[in-house]
Amino acid sequence: MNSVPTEKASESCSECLLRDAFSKEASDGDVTFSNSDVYLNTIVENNGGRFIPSNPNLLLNALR
Amino acid sequence: MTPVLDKKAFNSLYDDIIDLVGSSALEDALRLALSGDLERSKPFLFRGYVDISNYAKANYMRIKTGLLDRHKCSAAFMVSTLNGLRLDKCAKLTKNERLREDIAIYVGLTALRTFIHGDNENYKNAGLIAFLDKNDGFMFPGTICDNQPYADNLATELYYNRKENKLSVLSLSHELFWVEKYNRMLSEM
Repeated sequence: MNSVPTEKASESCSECLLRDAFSKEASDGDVTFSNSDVYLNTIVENNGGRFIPSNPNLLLNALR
Repeated sequence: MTPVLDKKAFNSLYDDIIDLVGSSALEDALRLALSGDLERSKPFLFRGYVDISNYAKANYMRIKTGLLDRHKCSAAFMVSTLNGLRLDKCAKLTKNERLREDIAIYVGLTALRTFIHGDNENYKNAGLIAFLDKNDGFMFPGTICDNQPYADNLATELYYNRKENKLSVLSLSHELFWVEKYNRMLSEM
């Protein structure tokens, strides 16, 4: 991938709660670093270790 | 190296696809070939995801040690899927030239939907979540010039961008942003 200029975080980024989650975890004291992957781990874990499938019919149609 | 998505959680995404393949109407040989290809691809997919998401964090985010927003994260899943899938055995049997792209779209939308479910503090996504539950995923706008589904156009874009080595996490994340925005708008009507 070509290098591109660094951009500011988009509006969609600031809208979402990922950053809030980071702040909360950081303020807990026992967590010193977090990122979206760690946050996603938690979501998946809370959903029984699975992602929430989206549009499986699109894929099933492709598998016909 | 920053902490990354747990490998078990990551693999569960592709295990679900293998389950879908298992329940599909594909003929036995193709079903087995595709399941095998997906299973063998997992290490490449994980490695690719780690590299691409770290690249995105380092280059596209103002706070480099912070969180990658859900659209870029989902786009990183898509790019790693497009680049990392090894469909060697399946390619000899399938007639679907865009299978890789169809799988990448499923992966990106699934990651995005999972984020939206998890990011529901004060029920701010409740309307959108209910809408996605009702439709079993995201709706796409209708096309204008013909009756081809929008998802086909998206698959075509991914197909040529990969072929021409032009896949971009930023471009895909913007498309995912608009898909979410479109569905959020529909859910509020």
